[in-house]
Amino acid sequence: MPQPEYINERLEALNDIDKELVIILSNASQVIGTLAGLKSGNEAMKPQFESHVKAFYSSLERASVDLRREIKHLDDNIGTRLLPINLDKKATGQDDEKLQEQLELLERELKRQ
Amino acid sequence: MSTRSLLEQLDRTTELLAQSLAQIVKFSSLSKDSDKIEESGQVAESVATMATDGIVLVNTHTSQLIKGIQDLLVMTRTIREKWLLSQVPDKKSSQDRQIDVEKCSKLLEEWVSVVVTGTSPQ
Repeated sequence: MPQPEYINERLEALNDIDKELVIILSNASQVIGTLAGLKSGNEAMKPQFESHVKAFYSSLERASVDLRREIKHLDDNIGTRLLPINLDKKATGQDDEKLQEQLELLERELKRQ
Repeated sequence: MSTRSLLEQLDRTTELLAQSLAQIVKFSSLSKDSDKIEESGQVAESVATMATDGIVLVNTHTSQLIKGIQDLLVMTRTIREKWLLSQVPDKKSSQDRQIDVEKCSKLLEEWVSVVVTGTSPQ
């Protein structure tokens, strides 16, 4: 179902946050990998370890800031684009879709007559 | 879930994630410290206990880190659901519906004249 442009933008931003969260996990895994190397006495891995730690905290910061921004967008749009938080909208579009379908059927039948 | 509780959860989880990695690095060095203790002639049993504790704590913090990321993914999903399922119906769609009703009335009249009364459509 096509969504309004603003909502598409929000969904896209949330997808980017998901990707950033996965990158955080990947960075954490690299940190632990290089840490294992360091512990086995390979001092040459120290710069790599530092860069992975930096990457982990940078990704965490980006994801956290972006997610906070998305929560703010959500808060700003309650009452305008979104229903109040405790109300659940039922599938109101379903009736219109069914009516449209029946009208098309009726139109086809009339043309056939 | 209200936006305030989402913000609180975000703060908690971010803090937890930031601490988890630091704790993993800290506790993974416990076994290294225990080597020093062994050299200084302390009991081997306490060395083994410390190393085991270190491994257990590393495991705990690793699970916490993964759980924290999972929580944030669930949060983005919750926000996505709100955008998709709690939209206020826009005016355009309600106008379309009125047009549909007029069209429906015309089509039904036509249907009655063609099928029920048997006259040809105008």
